[in-house]
Amino acid sequence: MSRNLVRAFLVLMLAAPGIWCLPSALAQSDVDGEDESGDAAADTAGAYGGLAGLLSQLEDAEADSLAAVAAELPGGGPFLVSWTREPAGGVRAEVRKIQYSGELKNSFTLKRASRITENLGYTYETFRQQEKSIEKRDNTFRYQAGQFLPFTMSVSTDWHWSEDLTVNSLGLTNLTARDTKNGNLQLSKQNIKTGFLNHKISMNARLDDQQGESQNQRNDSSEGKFSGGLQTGFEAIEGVSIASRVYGQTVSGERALGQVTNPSSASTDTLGIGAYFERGVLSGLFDVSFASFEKRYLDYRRNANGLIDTMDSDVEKIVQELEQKDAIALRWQGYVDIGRFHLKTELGRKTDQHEYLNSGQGLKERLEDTMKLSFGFAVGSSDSFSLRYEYKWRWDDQRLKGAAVFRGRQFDKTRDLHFQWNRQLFTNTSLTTKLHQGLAQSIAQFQYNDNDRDRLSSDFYTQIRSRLGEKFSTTMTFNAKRIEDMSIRSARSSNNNVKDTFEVSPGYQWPLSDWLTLSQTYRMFIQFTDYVFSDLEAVKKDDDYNKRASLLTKVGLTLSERLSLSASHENNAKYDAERTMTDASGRRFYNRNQEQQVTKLDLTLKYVATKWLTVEGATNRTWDATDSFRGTEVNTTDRDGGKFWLGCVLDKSVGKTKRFDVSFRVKKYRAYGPSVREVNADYWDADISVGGKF
Amino acid sequence: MQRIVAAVLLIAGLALTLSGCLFEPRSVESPLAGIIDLPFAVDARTAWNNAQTSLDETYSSGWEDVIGDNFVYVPDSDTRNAYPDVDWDNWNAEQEIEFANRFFSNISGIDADLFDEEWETPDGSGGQAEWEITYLLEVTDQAQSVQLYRGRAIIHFFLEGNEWVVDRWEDLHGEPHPETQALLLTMGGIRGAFASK
Repeated sequence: MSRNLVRAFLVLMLAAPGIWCLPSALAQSDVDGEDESGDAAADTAGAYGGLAGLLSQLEDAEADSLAAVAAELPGGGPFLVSWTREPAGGVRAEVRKIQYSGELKNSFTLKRASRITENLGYTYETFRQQEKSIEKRDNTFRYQAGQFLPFTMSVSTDWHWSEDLTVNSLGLTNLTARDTKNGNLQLSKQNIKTGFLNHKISMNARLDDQQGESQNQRNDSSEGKFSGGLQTGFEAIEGVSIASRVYGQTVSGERALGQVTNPSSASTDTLGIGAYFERGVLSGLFDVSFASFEKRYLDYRRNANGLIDTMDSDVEKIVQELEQKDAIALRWQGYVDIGRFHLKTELGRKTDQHEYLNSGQGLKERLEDTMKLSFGFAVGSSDSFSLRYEYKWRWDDQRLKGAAVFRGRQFDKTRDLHFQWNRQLFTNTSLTTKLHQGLAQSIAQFQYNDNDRDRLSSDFYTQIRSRLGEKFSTTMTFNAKRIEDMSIRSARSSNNNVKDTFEVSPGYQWPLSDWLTLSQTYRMFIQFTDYVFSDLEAVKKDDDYNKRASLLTKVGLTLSERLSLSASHENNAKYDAERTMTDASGRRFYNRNQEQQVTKLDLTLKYVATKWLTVEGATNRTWDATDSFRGTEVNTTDRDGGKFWLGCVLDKSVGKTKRFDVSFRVKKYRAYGPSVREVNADYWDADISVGGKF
Repeated sequence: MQRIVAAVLLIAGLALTLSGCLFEPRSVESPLAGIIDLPFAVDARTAWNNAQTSLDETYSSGWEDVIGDNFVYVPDSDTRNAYPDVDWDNWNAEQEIEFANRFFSNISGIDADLFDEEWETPDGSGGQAEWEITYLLEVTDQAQSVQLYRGRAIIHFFLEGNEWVVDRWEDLHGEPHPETQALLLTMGGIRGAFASK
């Protein structure tokens, strides 16, 4: 594909907005709509003064102007129904970066439901922690023909330009730049009847042009694409439809990578057929599809894992790649709904072969089977149950480039069972219980690696919620979890362990009055880790436990309609210990090796100054005291940190159909303490934007 | 009748799940090698040390223990440009663990230095810590080809339950080769290659 041809097409596409806007000079606006918006703006002018008045004048001026040049086209009705402009600009500052942005959206609604939209965008980002900047410019244009043609047509062009400059720690600058342009024409027609068959035809023509640079390497491409598809369906019997689809795409062009330029091409085809049913209590689908592609393109030489080879200097870095893939997918979904009984089944199989001519990846084969069964029902008015079983079994195999045999299949199997029971115990008391067990297995065929492992997780969760009186509510949660992490091979099994975690968490919420709320939550975790082979000489790993308890207290104060305060206090205690011995009766003795106390205090203030202006502030303080024990030696660390911010939020809109918006959210942060980095110690967090619609 | 069916299902579900007989792990070979030393992560430095050990030993269970439930990975610009089809905005703990399993199963070895340069590594307090570091990985694939990855990253640690974990890994940019000064990819390049497979 000649690059000049591409450019000519793009120029035509980019000029299209002008061509399509030309008739608007002779168009007439929708006067009724303008009258309405004019009234609204006039009302607003009374309420808000100068700006709204200005907008109102602008509306009137536009209505007069459009009416002056209005011209009826043959066929009746105005050609240009409406034209909306939405300019916007803003600045966002946060701890990592500052972003400046501007945008202009133009939307033209034309007669017969046709429509033109054009967006222009610009962003510039500069990073506070790095020597880095990103600049982006975008332009998109869309034309939808509406009812002008006996088929659906849309034309679009896109232009995206970006430049990313990053300076690394040696002071070297890396430029990543990209300039892409494309033009796209889509045609489609549906509800084409031939006998009992119903068809939909679609066609797409597209031109892509890219000029890019990354890591000092040129990466350019210029390609044309053409694709077409046909979907055909019919109702075989009442409630059962059969549908098929055929799709093909061809791509041709050239690509330049580094100093090398070569032709590129691709061909893709897809064939699918499915049955869809909905009869009585049954519904679902069965679908099978075949897909394949062949691509020829310039690429970097890649290793067995598809990673770019950056090391070997004596081999050719850029190669002409040939990539081929064939895939088959089958899918079944079935639903049964009988009153309060629901059953859902999903089955799937995907398999593919993927081959590279030059990449070290060589030939890869994959298969994935999935099954999901969900079953739920309600009993009486107080109980409901659900049961879900999920199964996934997949493997992949690979014959590395140049190898005579496959390396062996890598299997991954997961099975999960979920059970849930909800019961209304009393009028204001409910119980939720969940059970889960799951097993994940990794298996390497022929033991081509030593990473075979099984991970069995079991969970039990139950919560009682109760409401005492109209205001006081309480919850009690218990959670027990066990994870058995088992490496199968002798090279890895030393670390096999079982982790048991228990959590108890009671809490309550108590709105003492309209202006005062109180809530408290207590949580206690304890985790035991037992190493399966801890008694073996080669392992020598002590079992351990870790305990943590926290009490969180929150108080909310609404002092007036405008002023509210909230305070929270959290006290954490954490203990880590290792097993020292087990006596003859099996009792285990542990020795604490660390104790930690963390206290956090947060205060937040919010003042609603007006309907559109809110002032907010917050401060938090953290005290962290840690004692570490090594034999008789105690190492104590006390840390103290805090954060403070103050800010305001302003949201103001003027006008209705013709609108002017200002949004202003600014916060100033100050922080100190051992966990605070220099960049987080003092910064502005701001989001300021100005926009409108007219 | 419905209540009887419900009660039977409830008891069967409880019995099956609590007994642990639904799914049975395979039998395990007795260990021949010494233990991979991954102490309980009582602070951010221990968690990061465990991450390095897990890489060196290509031990996916260790890596999984370092990754927090709310883990987020943010790639650098070069990675985003090199792998535009990868859903980077939704790269969470599940994606990271799946990536680690595939990565560790498809290589011959890793020599990792996650403390290559420590720009800012403050002690955590109140259950959080944020570090800026440069890491270096030397990865040998199954065809014995060796690749280096070096990146500067911001790592955020969080006290999850009782243990410190990594809950955010943001690669800032690739760093030069320590000797040749050729620009290297970050670990995002590895994640992208495995995610796009």
